[in-house]
Amino acid sequence: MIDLGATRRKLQRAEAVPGRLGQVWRAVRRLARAHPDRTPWLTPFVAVMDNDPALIAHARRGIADYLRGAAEQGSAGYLFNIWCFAFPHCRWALWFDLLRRGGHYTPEEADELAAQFLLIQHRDHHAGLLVKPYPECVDNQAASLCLSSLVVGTLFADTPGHGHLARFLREEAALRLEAMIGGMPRSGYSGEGSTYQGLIVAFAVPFLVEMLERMRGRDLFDQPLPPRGTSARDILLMTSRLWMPGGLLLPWDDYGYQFGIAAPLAYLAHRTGDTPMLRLLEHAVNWSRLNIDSAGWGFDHAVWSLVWWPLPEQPAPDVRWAGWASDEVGGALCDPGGRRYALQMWDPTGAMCTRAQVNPNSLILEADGVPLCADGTPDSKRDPLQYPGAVYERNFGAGAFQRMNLSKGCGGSHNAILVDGNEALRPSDRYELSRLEAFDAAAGSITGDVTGLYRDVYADCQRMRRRTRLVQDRFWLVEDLARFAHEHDLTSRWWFRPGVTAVPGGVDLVTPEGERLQMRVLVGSGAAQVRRVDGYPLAPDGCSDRVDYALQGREARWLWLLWPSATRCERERLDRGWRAQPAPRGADRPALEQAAGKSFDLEPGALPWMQADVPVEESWAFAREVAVPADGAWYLRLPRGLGTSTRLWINGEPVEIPGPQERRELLQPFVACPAHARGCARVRVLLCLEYEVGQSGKNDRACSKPDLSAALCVDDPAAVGVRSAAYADGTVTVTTTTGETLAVPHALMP
Amino acid sequence: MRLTTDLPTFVRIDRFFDPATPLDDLLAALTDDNWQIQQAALQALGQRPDARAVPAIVALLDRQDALPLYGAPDQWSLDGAPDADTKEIWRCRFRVKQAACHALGAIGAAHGAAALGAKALERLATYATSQKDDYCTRAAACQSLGRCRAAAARPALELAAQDGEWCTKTEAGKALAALG
Repeated sequence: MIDLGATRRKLQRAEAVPGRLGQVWRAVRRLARAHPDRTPWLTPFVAVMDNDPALIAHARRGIADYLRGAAEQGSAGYLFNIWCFAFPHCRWALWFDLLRRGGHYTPEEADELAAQFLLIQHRDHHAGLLVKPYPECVDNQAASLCLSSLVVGTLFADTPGHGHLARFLREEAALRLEAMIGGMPRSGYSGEGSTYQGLIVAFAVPFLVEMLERMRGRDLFDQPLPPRGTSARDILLMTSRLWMPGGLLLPWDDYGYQFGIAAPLAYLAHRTGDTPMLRLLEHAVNWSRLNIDSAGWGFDHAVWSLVWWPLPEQPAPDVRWAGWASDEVGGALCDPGGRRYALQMWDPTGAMCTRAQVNPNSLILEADGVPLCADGTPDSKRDPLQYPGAVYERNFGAGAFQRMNLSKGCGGSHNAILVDGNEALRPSDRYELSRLEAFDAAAGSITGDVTGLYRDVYADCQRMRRRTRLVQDRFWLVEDLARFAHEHDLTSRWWFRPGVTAVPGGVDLVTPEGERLQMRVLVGSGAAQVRRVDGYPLAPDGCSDRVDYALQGREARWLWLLWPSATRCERERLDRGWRAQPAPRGADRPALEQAAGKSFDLEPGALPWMQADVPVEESWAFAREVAVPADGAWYLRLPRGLGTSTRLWINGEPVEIPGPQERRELLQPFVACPAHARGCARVRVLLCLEYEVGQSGKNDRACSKPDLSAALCVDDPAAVGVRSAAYADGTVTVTTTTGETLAVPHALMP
Repeated sequence: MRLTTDLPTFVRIDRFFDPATPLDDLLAALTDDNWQIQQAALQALGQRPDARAVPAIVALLDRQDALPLYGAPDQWSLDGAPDADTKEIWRCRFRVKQAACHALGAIGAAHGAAALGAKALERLATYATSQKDDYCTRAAACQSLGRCRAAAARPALELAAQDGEWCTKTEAGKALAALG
């Protein structure tokens, strides 16, 4: 699976040219060399690439530690979630094989360790595979279990012993292999949300397809595979669509907004040479999380990115975003610059709406890189969503009973239409598929028909459609049509990030980042009921503002104007001019200010050891002076990825960084000018970050996305808002705060 | 009943899957102290279905059923720290029963349900709906009843098809379809 010679040559070349691949490789290598025992998932690869005896000794110890721990496993968490350990077992076996092939074990040692890998696979994981109904079960769990039996059985089929057990494992898994790709839905979307699609299913695809091709002896990447005709490319392409321009994955399941990993994109680039994938790798991935994000329940995604990532002839130009649509799951509208992004979704679900949720035509909006809508999982301590009837109970046997609150997955938790106040909207197990009615990327229009889902619950539903338009790459028009045979109470529900106020004819949202969304009702009821929901979703804000518009009748039609605008702008990008120094952990300000050690010209917006060959230390202090408006009307925008240990001083005084931990991790905090700095034309900023140099814990990790450095920001006097908007005679007329008038033809849906 | 992952254990298990290994060696392994040896022998029996193995498999299931209700909440907290013996029983859990069900299913598929005898069939039907067993055992029992085309198990399979757990429900549905 890893061509040692070719990979080594590629990485050597990458070091010699500008570009992200070389930068990531250097960072991985520096981290593993500095902390080999704290980075066990990185060390074997680096050790073999560099053929370094000291690192190889660490890698051998890491493998031995892994096997010792795995042999002792037996907790409930292990046995009830065995797939979470099977896929890592497979990769540890690959790392061991890498060292074995490099001649770093004697034959006797190698036999002993191979036997242990096989016995653990047989004892713990293979039985888990056999539980999964074949061929019906195609999901992250089955793929993980299939891979581990297949890879371990293949690697050790010749030695030790006579290979009988290895072949038993391999052959039972091989039967299922093709279906792990071909049995995925044709859209390529597993239905399990961004977390499982992006961090597990798609991460497994390269392993699956490589093993399948090895078995069949031919290229199968683009081949539609049985039983559903899905190809590996379909799955990876869908995975690339989970990325929003702001750098987060779609909150397309109950885990909500989060960062993605690059390995699936790297493999797609490797197999296709697609420039868009190279651009994503270069510009959209948060590489500062290379050692801490779990993918396939392990921490080696950066290594696999390095393995698959093709070295481009020259650094890829910036990302050009584009819309897409899939009949089965939804579609997105986006301008090329990624300033305006909307996803309209209707992916299949059933009564058990845990990961695949009930989101008929729900919208996710992002503007200027800032998410506007709320979706995700509630804070488990508060669990504010308690819809009547949204409970599922099941018995795993032997005393393992589960009672689940499904409210977060129901229609009432998404931007959808509710009927007669039924927030627990969820279809039965079988219902007519929702579908794409129309999509025109050039015109910026998408229409989804979800009548089938509603008809499954309300027999008299005749039509349920939503059309979303991106107009002039500036704003959205959204039209809803709900038609029933009988009269109902119909509610258009929206979940926004906190910061909503009701205004005549709609609502205004201003996010903590200063992104404004003006929502105006052009057709339909404009009386908005706004309610703060504390505890949902957990990320990024720990709360949301729920907006309901109600109508009564057999038919409801709404036409909305959604006008985003950034109310703050950068005055100065603070990506240079910092004095950066390693600092003692927990040091107080005077100690940080007076540290006498060597300082470096680094910025806090990326890992220090990704920027230069510097000590891989956990704690770093960044200091610089910033010229600011003396009237105090400014904000310090910090990098994202800040942990609870981040400390900030302005002019020597400690300043609190606003927002909950989840928001500081995902989005850039804005720190308003503190009272003590008003009147100053220059301020001294001291920022202390605690980085994670191991593969656990929750220390700070700044974001390496290039356009998200720290910056000095001010309120944007040129921000254009809506002064008035109306719909008449087939035309939407918008007058802006600058006096500009826009007339947009819009024919209502039949 | 301590578990090992050493080379001698491996060599022994590896040999079970060698078609040349005598049946008696596999049957003898069903009474081994190490449950992983039992599990491997059962899986190997599933690879070379022989009706002569049925009484030994049923006897093994008798012993398994006599073990404590290892998953019962009053004996085992899902988050608790177990002693070594409990941990070993916990590790074993469904694995031996699952392998036994699959072995019986393979024998029934090869030689017909009658070759299993009433006791083995009854045991499979009981497991198919047993809420005190792991769903993995229930699913394996349903699958095996389907492979045997055990018509007498239809009522149990119909009940299992209503199981709240997906693997069990799916296997029961497939088994009912196999019965026609």
